[in-house]
Amino acid sequence: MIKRILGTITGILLAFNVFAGSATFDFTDPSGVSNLSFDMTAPVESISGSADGISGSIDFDPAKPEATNGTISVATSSLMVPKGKMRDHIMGSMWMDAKKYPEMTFKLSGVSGLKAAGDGVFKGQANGTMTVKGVAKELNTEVTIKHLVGKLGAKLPGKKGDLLVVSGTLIVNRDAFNINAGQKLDKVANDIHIGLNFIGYSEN
Amino acid sequence: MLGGARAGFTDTSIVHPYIDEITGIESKKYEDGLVPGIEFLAVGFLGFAVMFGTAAFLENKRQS
Repeated sequence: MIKRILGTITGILLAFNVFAGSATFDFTDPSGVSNLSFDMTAPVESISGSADGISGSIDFDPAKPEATNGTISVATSSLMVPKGKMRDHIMGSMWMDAKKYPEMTFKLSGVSGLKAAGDGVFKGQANGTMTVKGVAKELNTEVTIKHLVGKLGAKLPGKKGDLLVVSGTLIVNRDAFNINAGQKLDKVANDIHIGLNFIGYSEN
Repeated sequence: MLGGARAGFTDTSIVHPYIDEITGIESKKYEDGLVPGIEFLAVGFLGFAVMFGTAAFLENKRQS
């Protein structure tokens, strides 16, 4: 009888993920949905595009979401814009210098001011460091973390586990990251509006 | 712009935005393709101007 009660309690606790603890989520997205988007408004023509070469990992514990930490990298060569010639310029040494700086990184050290915003959804201030073109800057930006329990199979059929969706927006200054600093300001905006849309995979 | 016309320069890729049903993430797919921009309109106007000028010149020459 006692064994049966203990079994039932354990089952309930497992169902509510109490024993889940911290899990490492792999952000290399085989579905190609994860992306970093960017928009730069300009008097002549606005520039917008995205990058899908996402990799890295994040440790997440639903009981301690504020301790979420890890690193996500974006391959510079995966930056895309609708104009081929413009993309060639972006890859060049004046702009992103993709050969010398093949990756942009977001190192997340924690999330402060977290508030629950639904079932498995947390909103807060991501704290960490963003490195672009070898220039590292403190990063503090609003993010939404969505923990999709048991949804791994929906993305990777036959696998059991969870998904972690990290999304947010931030504005960075291209001068600050030496992206053709101080140049072409009449044609290309200094502010870059960045959207982060990353999916992490964790197998149970 | 009405009817799908656009004000930008010519694109060499066609962008297909979509929303992932499982995660709700908005993403884009790029496909090779030409989306004509204002250069095409400018060349059209230039062609019109050249033909109009030539026609006017020839008409003037014929009448004189």
